[in-house]
Amino acid sequence: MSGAGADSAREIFDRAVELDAEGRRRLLDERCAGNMALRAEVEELLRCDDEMSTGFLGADAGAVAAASGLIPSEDDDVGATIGRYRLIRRLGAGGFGVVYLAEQTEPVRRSVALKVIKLGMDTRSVVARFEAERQALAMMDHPHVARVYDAGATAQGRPYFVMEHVPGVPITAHCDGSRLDVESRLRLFMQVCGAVQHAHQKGIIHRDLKPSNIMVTEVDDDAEVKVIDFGVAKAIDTTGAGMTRFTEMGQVVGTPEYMSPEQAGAAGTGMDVVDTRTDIYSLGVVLYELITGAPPFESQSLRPGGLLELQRRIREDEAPRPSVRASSLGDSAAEAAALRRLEPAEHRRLLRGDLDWIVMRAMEKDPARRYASASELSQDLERHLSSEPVLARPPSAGYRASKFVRRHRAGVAAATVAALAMLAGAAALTVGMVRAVSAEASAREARDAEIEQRRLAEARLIEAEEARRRAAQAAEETEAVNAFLLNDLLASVRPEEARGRNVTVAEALGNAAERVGDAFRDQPALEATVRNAIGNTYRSLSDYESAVMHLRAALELRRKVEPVDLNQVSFAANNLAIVLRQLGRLDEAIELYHEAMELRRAQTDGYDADLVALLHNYSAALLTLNRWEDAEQVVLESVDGHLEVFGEEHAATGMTYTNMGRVLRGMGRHEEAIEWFSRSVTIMRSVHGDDHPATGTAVNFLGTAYLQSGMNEEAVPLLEECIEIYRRVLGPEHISLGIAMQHLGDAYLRMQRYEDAAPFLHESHRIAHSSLPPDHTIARGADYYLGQLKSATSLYEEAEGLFLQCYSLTPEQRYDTRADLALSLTTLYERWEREEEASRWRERIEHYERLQAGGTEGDS
Amino acid sequence: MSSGEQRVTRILETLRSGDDRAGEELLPLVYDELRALARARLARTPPGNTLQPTALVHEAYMRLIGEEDPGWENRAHFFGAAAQAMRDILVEQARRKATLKRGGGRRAIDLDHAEPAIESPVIDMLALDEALRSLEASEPRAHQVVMLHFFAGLTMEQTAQAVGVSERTAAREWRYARAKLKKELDGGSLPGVGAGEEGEL
Repeated sequence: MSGAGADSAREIFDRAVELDAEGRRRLLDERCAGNMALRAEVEELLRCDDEMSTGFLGADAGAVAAASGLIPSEDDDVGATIGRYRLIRRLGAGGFGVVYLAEQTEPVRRSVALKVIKLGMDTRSVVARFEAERQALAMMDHPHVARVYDAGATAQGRPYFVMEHVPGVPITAHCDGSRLDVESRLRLFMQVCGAVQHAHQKGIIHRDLKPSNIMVTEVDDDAEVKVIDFGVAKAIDTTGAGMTRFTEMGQVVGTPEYMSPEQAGAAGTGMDVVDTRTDIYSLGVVLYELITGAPPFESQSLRPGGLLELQRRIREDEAPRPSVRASSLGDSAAEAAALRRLEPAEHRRLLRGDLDWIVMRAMEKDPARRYASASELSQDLERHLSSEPVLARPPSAGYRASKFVRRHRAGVAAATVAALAMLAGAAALTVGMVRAVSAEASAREARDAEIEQRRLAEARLIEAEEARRRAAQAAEETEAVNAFLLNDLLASVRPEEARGRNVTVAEALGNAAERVGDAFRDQPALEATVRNAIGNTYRSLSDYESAVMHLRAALELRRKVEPVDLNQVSFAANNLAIVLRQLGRLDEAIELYHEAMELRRAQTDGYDADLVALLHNYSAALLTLNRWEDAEQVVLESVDGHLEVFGEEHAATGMTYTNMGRVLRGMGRHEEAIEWFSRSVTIMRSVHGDDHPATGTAVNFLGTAYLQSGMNEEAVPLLEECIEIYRRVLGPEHISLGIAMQHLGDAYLRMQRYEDAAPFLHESHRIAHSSLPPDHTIARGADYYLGQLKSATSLYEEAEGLFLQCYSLTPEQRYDTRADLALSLTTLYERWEREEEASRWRERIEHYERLQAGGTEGDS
Repeated sequence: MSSGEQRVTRILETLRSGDDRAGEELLPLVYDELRALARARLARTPPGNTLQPTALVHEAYMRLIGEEDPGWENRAHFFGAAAQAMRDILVEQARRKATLKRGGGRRAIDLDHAEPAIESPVIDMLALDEALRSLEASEPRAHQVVMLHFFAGLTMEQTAQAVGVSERTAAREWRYARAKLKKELDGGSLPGVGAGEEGEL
């Protein structure tokens, strides 16, 4: 590494390239303040970067190499003339032949692109078919349609086409090269729709829409779409069904991913099944790839002999929805998201819903169910962009449930409906507000619980995603499960059965739970799926005991299914462990985490989102038990895994850093802990911004770490910031706010700034006692700290009352806390000059310290 | 199996057993193969045409390693060596051209040694070589990414695997390296490589 200057230029550059112009300016203002040389260097790097996205060193040398034939074709005849056209140079080659840049001299002088089709086609019929459509082609006049001028035969008898020369790159390459965000991609795609709509109005069907036929050229900084090759596919397509894409060897030479089901079905039959809706399908596939990062069916997996298999998949297989596909891209998910200026999780969220349904509507297997026209597709995208409801609708259980509810609105309570619809649709459940876990939880545990709740919410998202993925893989299973949920679960809230009562979710769930065993006798996999859904719903209703019952049953069933699906077993084990942890049954939870982890590891070498979530949960459970050494092992792995799966700039990674800090703090390695907490703060700030509870929590950890190391000066501004964040985002009554205020008050007490401490300790006391029972550890903490303030500022009576109350509510076994209180009272009475009481409490200090040293459980 | 192929296979075997010194033998071997390959290809190519360096690397790979999958680590060794060899060849070619322009060294060029015109990026190879050296010193990983991605023609995914980082990290290294190299080269005149119009049939 070079000097610090170069390092930070690099760092700033790495961050800046992710931002827009305004963001870059702000970043530079902030990070290069007062360092003009550094700023100049970064600006220069950014300028170079901008200039280079299209030029220098090529966009992707590898891709170019892979696509280009190493050996120039034998009859490479640059300089020769074909008809009225002189060949200038080769532009490229593809499955059909070669494209040249050519010059036309008569009747006008212009540059054109000339495509020579490779030998093996019936030239006469190709030219004849082109002639038949020439009239129609000539009528097309649209800025986004490349003109086709001419067709003919070379001296060797090969057909050729002459068309407008479009100097550009395929739309996918353009979007990735310029790292266009999803909205810009949609806007560009809408130009494509315009072009296709125009052609359709003139009676021209493209038949072979794919990214390499949709070029983008940059005109005065604007990206312009040009759809090329109108009329070509039809002319060279002898079957009307895309058969020319395959050579006589059965090898796929073109790009079959964009072929419609009707084309795939008619291939080889000689039928012409193509109409304008075929183009709509292909548009859908292009849109799919533009927003997702990959086409629905990958061609790489297609072997030469797999032509029939490909046709079958296009005809029969349901394509995964874009959001599902985006989450199953594995290693390239991060890259796909980054190319759209998103984090992988944001990417999935953005696609979920409208965009999923719009794409899937365009790609319906049955042409009659697709958008009727390209402009209808375009209009739905416009609606999505302006946040209006779209025409495309999810054909899901949730949708059916909502229709059901509409029919039976009278007898169904809104909350019940929402919960059931979520259950049926396997949608992510929002996790409710933070609840105090148990009366004996320490203040730290309460904070952990809050983090856990958020963690849980994230885990739910992953889980829901997983459920959707599984559902997509096993449509049959989904059908059966949904049928059960709709008939047995929603049926129980039918007006006639509910008889005007307000059927609660719990009641409905209870009904379903009773029936599930019978409904799925001998179908353990389905029963497990349903029990999992029921268990998770109980969990979200905070009925943990019932949740455990169903989740445990689900786990047992998963173990019994033949053949055993280890992923499913591990998934079920994880779900059960989450609830056990909430019940405080940590040992059981840890055992399950361990099992789930081993199973996962047996499945895959590397890390994936599931495994790292598991590691995180596992480490959190160990932390709660203060098992620092064990936790350290798991957290270290969790950090590695998170870095690999999410990279550093990710909220989940930030949370593992926090856990690393907690481990180190627990081991007394405060300096290292501070380092990890700071890194976590940096990440949270950049991922969530400053106004986010997760940022507040990270800041709070860092602040208290400084406090515990006696670095009060450092702690104060952080704790102040944390309080500000909590006040804004959690509201003035939130217990987390009260806890943060306690910490800040503590810091001020240590610095003997009693006036500064007073408002925070009073407010914290009020918040704690208004929402918690007086013996709750946080409420007792509030008494204790306020007592310290009173004692230090000579308000002895008040201090005495607070300390004594706190003492009497502290359980006898908390020797350390009691020793601490005895010390506080001793000091108080000494200040108060009440020697008798002082000496009595002095004895108690010794008493509790002896008990504590006796090795019994401690309260850290 | 050609003798070159046997030797490479043996070297890769040795590498697999953990002996890193075998890697040094790989470079000259790959270098010779690349030059021979370029010459052979060019003999069948009309004058004025050029060969794609990355395509050459891939062909060399096919010839030297063949269908057998040597495992990722060894593939990384191979492409590391190939990238270095390709860079050396391009630099030599550029140096010779520069010498020719200055009118010197005419004697050194005879027909037998007339080097194939491998399509050199439209940049000053000598300056790029220089810039790469300084990049290697300051950001070794970024340098490695450039070598594998640009000179050996690995995709970003393969590059990431070979370097042992996430694809995102590799992409970040690549982006920084590109900007940094361009900046270094911008002192001189830099026409930039046209993206090239790609019309696919």
